[in-house]
Amino acid sequence: MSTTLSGYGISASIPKGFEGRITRLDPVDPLSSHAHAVGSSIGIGIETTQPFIHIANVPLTQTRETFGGSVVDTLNANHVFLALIEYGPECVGTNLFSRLGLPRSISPQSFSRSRLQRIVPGQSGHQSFFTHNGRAFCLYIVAGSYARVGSMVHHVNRILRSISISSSLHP
Amino acid sequence: MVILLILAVVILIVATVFVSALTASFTSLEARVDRLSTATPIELRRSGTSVPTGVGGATGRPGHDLAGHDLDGNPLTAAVIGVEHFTLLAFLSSGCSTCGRFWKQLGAGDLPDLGADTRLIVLAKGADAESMTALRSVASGRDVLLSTQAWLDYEVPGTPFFILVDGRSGAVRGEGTAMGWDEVRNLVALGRGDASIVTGISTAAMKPTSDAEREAVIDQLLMDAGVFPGDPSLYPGTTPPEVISP
Repeated sequence: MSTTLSGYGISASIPKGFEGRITRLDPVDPLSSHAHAVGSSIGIGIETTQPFIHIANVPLTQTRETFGGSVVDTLNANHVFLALIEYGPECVGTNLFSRLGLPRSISPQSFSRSRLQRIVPGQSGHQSFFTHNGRAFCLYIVAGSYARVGSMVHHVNRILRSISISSSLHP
Repeated sequence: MVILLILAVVILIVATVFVSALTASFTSLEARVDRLSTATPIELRRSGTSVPTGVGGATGRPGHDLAGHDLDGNPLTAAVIGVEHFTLLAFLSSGCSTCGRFWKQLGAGDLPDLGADTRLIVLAKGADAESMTALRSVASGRDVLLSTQAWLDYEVPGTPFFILVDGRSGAVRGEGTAMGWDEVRNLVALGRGDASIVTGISTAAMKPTSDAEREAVIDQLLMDAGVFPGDPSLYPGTTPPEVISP
């Protein structure tokens, strides 16, 4: 039993116990307070007008930072948070996004505490940068417990295999 | 003979007065019950016409996960079943006058205390059945899940309407309409079987403390009053035991 989440040319099958949100922020003045609220996008080339998708087995509130700030703090050992963040078209073809295609299977060994965007004790993270159908993305995953990554990975891989990305925001 | 006749008449009068008093009392009670039943705003449907609902642990109809959009048109889903918490679904609309007080309090961040493990999700119908301009105005920035499908899944009869779902069992535990958050809190308490929400007294406070905790509290109170272990006042009429200092 799953629910389908679809928008901005991205769709995913959300398994039972998980929920997801696809968000596309309005363009903002980089110096405004709202821009700082999604501060990870400042200065590294992310266009805030690109969508990002969050999937987790914890409640996803309206106010979430791009890389899961305010959500990852709520994760316990049985929780996992997945973010798929689109970067601007100028990033397509750059070295960082040279990998082609969304990873469909992540191994527990690819998780590390040093890959967390923000260090939270006990947690571990995964980051992949890739281009899929001409769109540049970062896949960012946080496991609530480094010790239990192995049991979380099969949920993550099931979600990754269900994701489809079209070549346009408006297919 | 005359005496017997007078006696019979007296008994008849007394009996008549007694029956009249009983009838009046019953009528008064009946009127009170009628007033109470019509004044209660929550209708807890234990067995509805098409949606039999178990309240307080009985077998309830199944809950459903939610899918829809937010007020900015961004898609979202929300997990209601297969989770560790309760979810209170608040079905509101922009047009109903009773919903106005709920919108007002939600917009002001004046949310009811539903207990730590109860999540509140506010729902409205989608753009196919609601005015987005009116909804944005009443929602005042509050997170709202727009899903006409959710109304169909939960067979919502009108607004405002509230449904409590137990995420562990996936079953509806209570539902009804309300005039204010107090009634909603009652619904949640009934569905969860948790009186502490209604009384405002935490379950921990209602539990009797353990013997050890009680002893510690009493010891501290006595010592604060200058009564230490071995004090003769603790052993009226007997010899106090020898106290060994640590």
